[in-house]
Amino acid sequence: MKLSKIKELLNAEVLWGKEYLDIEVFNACGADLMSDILADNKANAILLTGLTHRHIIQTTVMSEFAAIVFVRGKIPSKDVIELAKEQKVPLLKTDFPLFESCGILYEAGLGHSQDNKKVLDAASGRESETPQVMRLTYDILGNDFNSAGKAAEQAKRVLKQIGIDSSIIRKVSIAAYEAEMNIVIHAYKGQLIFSITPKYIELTAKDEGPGIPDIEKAMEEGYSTAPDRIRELGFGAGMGLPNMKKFSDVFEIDSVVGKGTEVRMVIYL
Amino acid sequence: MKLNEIQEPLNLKLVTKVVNTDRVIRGGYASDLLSWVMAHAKEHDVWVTIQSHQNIVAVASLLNLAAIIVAENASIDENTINKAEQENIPIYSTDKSIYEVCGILYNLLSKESG
Repeated sequence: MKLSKIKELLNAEVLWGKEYLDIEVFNACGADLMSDILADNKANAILLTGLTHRHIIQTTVMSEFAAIVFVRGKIPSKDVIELAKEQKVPLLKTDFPLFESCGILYEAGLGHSQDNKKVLDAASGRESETPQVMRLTYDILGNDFNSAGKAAEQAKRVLKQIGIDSSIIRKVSIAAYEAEMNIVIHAYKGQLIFSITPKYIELTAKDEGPGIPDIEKAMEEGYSTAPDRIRELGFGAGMGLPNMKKFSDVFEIDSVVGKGTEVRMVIYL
Repeated sequence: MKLNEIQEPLNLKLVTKVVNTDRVIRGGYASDLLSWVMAHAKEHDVWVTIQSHQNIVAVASLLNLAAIIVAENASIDENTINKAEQENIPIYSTDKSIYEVCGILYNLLSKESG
């Protein structure tokens, strides 16, 4: 079905991307939870959603949707439309709610009629591709106590927006905060990388720093090499690495003295 | 119990502006070690500490704590207050010690839960 036909059926307005109305779509996904959207892997589908924040555009690109239709008359802000332009994602708006939009398109045959074979053909070509991953990367500076914790906070906000369960967010936040603080306290600089997939969240903290001479010792609760001025701030309790391990499902640490440390944590959804 | 109900018995001064003092408190937690708080404090707890640098706001915001009480009139950085206002985390200051704040708050909360 052509995008122009969808526009007509839903009595939709094109917010951006008139020149894309000729593209052919085979299916649709209706969802308001980002994790459901990420988990959807239909080929050449449109996304019907009431979410209008900027992460919806990134998610759409990652999940390779052909276009977004905002339902119940929702209009995203200007910067979100700008982002869609950059990413070449056509945006439509309909006054119908999600339920009716889905019903109208289904009724018209989208996703279950003569298009089916084409869908299968298109989908089989995608099987070998890697699953959808949303990646967030934050640079952390050693000794920068003013911005310490910012990366963990920003990541938490994203996880909240994409509808991740609050008990999972708590675990990821704690692990991320401890990892971030470790870089600030001990390293020269580092990075915090979140990979969000439909099944798990992987958190990698890598730094350039002094490294850890005795990892076993560092993993003991209460053991810390932090100097007194840091302990006075309430850090350096020797709980950082143990907390990261406690709140993640998979925990791996690798360190080279004089070079740096890399910690990898996985939290299952 | 709501935040504004503990203000008087604990002799609290609200140092942040325009924050939600209507918020419901579930419990309390006291520690000056940030990692310890990260691991053990629970959502909607009031956190009692003498730490007052900006990282206390990060901890409170990550754990969704109800408020921070800085005890013993410890001075609070301007940056901490600004950041708490951005994150909508109420910070209170009191002349009482951590021990006294905990004792009074514990009794208020357990009286409420019967």
